[in-house]
Amino acid sequence: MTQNIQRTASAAHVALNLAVRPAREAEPPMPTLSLPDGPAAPPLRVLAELSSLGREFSEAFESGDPMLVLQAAASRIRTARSQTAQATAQGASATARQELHEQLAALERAIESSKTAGIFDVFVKIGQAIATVAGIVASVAGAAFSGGLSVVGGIACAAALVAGAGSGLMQIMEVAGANIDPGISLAITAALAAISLGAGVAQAGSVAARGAQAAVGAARAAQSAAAIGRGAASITAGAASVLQGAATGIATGFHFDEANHRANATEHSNRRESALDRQTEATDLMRNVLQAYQRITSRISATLSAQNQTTALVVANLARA
Amino acid sequence: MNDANCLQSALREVLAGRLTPADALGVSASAVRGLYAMGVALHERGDFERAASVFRRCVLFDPRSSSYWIALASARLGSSAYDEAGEYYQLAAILTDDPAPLAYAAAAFSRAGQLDRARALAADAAARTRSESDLRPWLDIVESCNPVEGRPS
Repeated sequence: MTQNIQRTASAAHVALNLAVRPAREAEPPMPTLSLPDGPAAPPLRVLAELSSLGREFSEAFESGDPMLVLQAAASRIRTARSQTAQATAQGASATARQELHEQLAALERAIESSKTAGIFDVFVKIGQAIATVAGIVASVAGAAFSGGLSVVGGIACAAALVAGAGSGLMQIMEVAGANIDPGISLAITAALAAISLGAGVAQAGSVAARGAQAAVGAARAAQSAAAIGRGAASITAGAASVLQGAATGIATGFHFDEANHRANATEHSNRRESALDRQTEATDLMRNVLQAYQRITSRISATLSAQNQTTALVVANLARA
Repeated sequence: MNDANCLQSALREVLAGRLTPADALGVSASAVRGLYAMGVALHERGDFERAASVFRRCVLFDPRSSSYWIALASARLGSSAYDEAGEYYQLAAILTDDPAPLAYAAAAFSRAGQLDRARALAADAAARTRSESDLRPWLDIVESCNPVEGRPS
């Protein structure tokens, strides 16, 4: 088969760049494949990133079994979540320490400036510095406990895939609530179908396409129904059929939920321990801040005392004069 | 935020299209694009099976991209899996306002012998395109099909 596939880096959609390969008789021509928007990583970096997913993920993908892919993805996400939590805590702690040191240095400067500034101004500056440090500690604790977007996304991915495989799209939609894009959710389920090799794919994809077509708008759905000529299909039925076609045999002997629950319990326990560690760390930070504050206060008192003595001395000298 | 709330809000992100599975797995968008470029290179060499394997990963990482679905469809077309190619083209059409994938799907289905479906899709594509001549190579495939055998005449 003659090839004339041109790769371009333009942002134009494939369909807008319709250079046509000379078609051999009876073969549909292929559209030109172009690269989507944005930079593309070189092959070595691509391989490095994909290998970071782990051998389990790669083997699952090679197997063509979508459920193995789901399990590997869920495992990967759990691991990533744990690592992200640790990295967040460590990073936040280091940042907090750095900022704390900076703020303490600012306090030292405030003390020095007390020799020339009024006492009230000094207290204002110290109060601001203390409030800033306390805010940093609080925000570190908050960030560590709440997690980041990537963690949330990871859970979402696992939940969407697992819930979809187990109970169909309707359950996902019920859980997720409003603002669901039917095209995207169908694309996600169909992506699972695409993983699976064999004759079931086309059939599953067919139902998915019909279901999605029916979901993307009344006018377009009517056209699709006519085009397909097999009647309207609901998005739920479409998704369920995709999953049935793509994940044949998933239900048999599949104990992912149970394993997932056990993993969640362990992870929850680990998170509590990690949270306690961070609380202890935050407490230590606050203790350091308070000690610094006490030192500063005592130095200010000493300064005030010295000023009073000076004032008294000046007054006495004036009186003698 | 507990796990249930976390899951619920996260599901909204994925299903609303604000997050891709690649994001969730920690794979960068540039890496997915790089993977796609590798697939295109395989496709150019005529290694359609391996190209399809790569493109399957691409659609898993970012199922919202019509380009990845089109690429997967084209790879399957190269392996003469016309039914499958047609389904993927049609799925790509869902994700874009461009009617071109409908025409691609029509041509693939006509080659697979699904003539009624192919003609209806071709008519849909022709009605929605602003430049029918751009789609003519694919529409011609459909129009030239033998209604009995399902093969271009």
